[in-house]
Amino acid sequence: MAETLYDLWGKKNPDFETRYENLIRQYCDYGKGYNEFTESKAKILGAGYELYIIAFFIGLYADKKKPLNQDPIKRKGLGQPIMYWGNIENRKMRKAYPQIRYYMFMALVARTDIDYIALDKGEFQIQRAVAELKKNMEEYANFGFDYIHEKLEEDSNWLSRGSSLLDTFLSFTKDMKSKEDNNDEDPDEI
Amino acid sequence: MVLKELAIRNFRSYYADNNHFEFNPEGLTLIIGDNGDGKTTFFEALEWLFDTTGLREKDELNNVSEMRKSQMIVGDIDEVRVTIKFEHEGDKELTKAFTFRKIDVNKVEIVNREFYGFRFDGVEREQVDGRQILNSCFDAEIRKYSMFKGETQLDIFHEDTEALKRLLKNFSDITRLDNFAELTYNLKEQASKVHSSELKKDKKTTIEANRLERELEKIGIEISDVRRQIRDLEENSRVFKGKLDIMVDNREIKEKLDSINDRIKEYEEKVRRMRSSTIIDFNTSLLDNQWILCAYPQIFEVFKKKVASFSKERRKQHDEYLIEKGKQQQLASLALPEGMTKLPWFVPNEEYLEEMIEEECCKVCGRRAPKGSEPYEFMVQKLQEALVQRQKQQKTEDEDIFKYNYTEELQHLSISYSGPMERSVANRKKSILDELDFIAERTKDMQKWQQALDDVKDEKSRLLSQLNGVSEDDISRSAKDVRDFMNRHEDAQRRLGELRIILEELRKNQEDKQVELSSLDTGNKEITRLGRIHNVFDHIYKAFISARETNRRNFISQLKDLSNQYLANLSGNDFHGVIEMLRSQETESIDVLLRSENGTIVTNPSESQKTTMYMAVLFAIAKITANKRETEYPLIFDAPTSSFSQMKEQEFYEIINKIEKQCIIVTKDMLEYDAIEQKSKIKSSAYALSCPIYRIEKDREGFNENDLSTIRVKTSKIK
Repeated sequence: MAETLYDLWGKKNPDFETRYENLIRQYCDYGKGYNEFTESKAKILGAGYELYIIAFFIGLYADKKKPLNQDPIKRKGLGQPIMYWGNIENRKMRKAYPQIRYYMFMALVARTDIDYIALDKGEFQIQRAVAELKKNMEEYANFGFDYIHEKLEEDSNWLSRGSSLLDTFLSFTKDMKSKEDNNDEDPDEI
Repeated sequence: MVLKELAIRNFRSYYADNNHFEFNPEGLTLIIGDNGDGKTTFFEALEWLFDTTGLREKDELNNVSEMRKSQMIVGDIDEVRVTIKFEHEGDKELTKAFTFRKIDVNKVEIVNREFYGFRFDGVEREQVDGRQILNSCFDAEIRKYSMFKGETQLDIFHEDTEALKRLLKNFSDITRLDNFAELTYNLKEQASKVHSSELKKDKKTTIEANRLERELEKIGIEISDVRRQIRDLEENSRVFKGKLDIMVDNREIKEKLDSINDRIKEYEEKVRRMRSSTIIDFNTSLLDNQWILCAYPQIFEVFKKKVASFSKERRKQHDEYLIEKGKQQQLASLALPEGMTKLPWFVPNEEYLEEMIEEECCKVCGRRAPKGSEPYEFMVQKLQEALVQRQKQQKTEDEDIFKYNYTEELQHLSISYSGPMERSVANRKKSILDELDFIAERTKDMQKWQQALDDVKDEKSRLLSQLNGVSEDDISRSAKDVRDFMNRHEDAQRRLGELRIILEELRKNQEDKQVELSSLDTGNKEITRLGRIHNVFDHIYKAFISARETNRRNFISQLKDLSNQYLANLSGNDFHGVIEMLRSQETESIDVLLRSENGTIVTNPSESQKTTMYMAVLFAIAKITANKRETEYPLIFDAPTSSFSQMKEQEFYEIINKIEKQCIIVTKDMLEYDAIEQKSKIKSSAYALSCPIYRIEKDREGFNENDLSTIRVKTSKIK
């Protein structure tokens, strides 16, 4: 049986701009495996993709994308294909959350302009559709990283302080509510 | 002396010139502050002002406000000043001050000291020396009965054998009798000497006189021996009692400590449990609990619509394709009213279709579908079509216009994330807010228990601070020795009783012998006359002694009665018992005890009972002094009621407020913790008191707990 769109997308290893690498290293166990010292380093998140997921959802909810630098030196793949994201967490008290991948995938489908009829007819390559989904994902995340970076510039403790991130996400629910009241149209397509 | 106003400038935490107090002239003034808010500093500012010994001068630089010091630049000058206005035979004022100059980064030196007062005669204001004004209005002796720091200083008779003598000297006029007693004693002794030497000269009486003299001498020795024994025993007994008091206190403290330690454990456990339910990592919860989906519902809505639209379009095109392919017949049997599009072939799926056919019921529209009926046949056809489609799917269908099934994949995804999962995501925001509310509630509870825990810990350190360095272990040990000391104390008391009887007998014997001696008849008129003179002086002397004794007894009885009146007043509805004052005739010391109505001595009064008892005595002394000296003096207490329960403190202040006596109490009572503002505030019940109330507190603005120079007291008049 042919691979599904979701499976193909899951094999991707999305890019990010290298200037955010330090950010990921600072808050995640990025660039090395889990080890016994991890927790003592007081990282607030686990694997590197966790900050990527957060950045992606920020861009998604803000409905803002930011194209990545096209220079291959200034971008790199995260290092772990999406299909493993949210699987077993090594840290104490953490839970696995593989479902998040489906929600990300559905969000990308919702926000990416792909003609699935033409795709089903084989009028264009499936890999093109997958690349489109990946590109959108990267651009949402890129906006999110930019947002986090700015917040940290203003206040270096922003991420470490209790509910800053949660507050950001809760504020999106207000935005959506007001959007819902005023505008019922579909979001702009790329 | 009635205090009217006090101004404190730059005295330690009393920064600058912002601290003014006006006192109630005939009742209570309450100054309320929490731990570290400057209560003791207030009291010590007064002690410094009233000190005439000059002993405190060497430490005076410590009195400079750290905050003021830190603000000055080298060369700047300012002053520490405490001024009190009072009424004592006219309006008067007393100021103690010193000027200081900053000489280095954190160093100041004293430039000039001042201690002066003013008196007003109604017309003019005359400056006088500070010591002079203090000695004439509020001398050191009176201050001993006026100012009290903490609870332990309240027992003025404790370990002070001269207390009664001083009281009599200062606060009554009966000591004048002592001079007469002394004079007549000398006259009596001289007469006795002359008389006995004449008796010895006379042959007739010489032997008898010598015998009586020898016996008198022997009795005298015995008396002084017994008196010495009594003094020693009384002293020992006092020491025993002191130790016993400490031990009993320790035993009490041990019980209190045990109860406090139990509470600390209980509250710590509560706080720990609450803290664990409030500690939640919001960042990881975004992922682990998928809180991050809180704003997802709209996105899912878009996804659903989009997928439904593609799916519909695909099916439409497929149908058209089938028609074109000449499969009209098959289609016609499945045709729906014109313009309607069929459901996807996999809805409902094969499994459900088989179930519905078997049960002859269409569970989609909820109607019976008996075998042979139109709906039954529809379901059979639908099942066949589904089976065909499934086979086709497995084989790979080259003939179809659709080579792939991505739309179908998305449709499956849309269906499986609809329904309960969709509702769960839609509720995400509410469950986050519920969780946050729960945490806020728990945090509030936790703060309440944390405050209770802090209070108990405070209580413990207060208790331990009463021990003067005795460790908790020592307390446990000495509590065991109490019984032993009680026995020794009781033995000493019993022996004292016996010795007092012996002393009385000896004195009677001595008197008899003296009478016998002075009555020896020689026939010599001169000797008889000398004997009579001696007898007369002896009688006069005894009369003075007796009068003095009566007066002392009266004074003590008056003090006791008055103390009991105050005790009854101050105790409100509590058990208070009766104050007893036991006086030692040998050492003139007084023991103040509490006795219940049935005569039992309360050997182990509680701290608050003791405090009330000693304060009653102090009020009584002040009252007697006011009567005798025709002048009042104020009572000033620093934290006298730390052992009182909250119920008791309220009642106590209500009573004190009604006694017509100037009384200033600096305390942390009448405060409660405000969890919202995270600081203590004055209880609403305090506003019901009619006395003036001042609140002193650390000014939180700019306060840094590690920096002395950020501490300043904010004084505000509450009412």
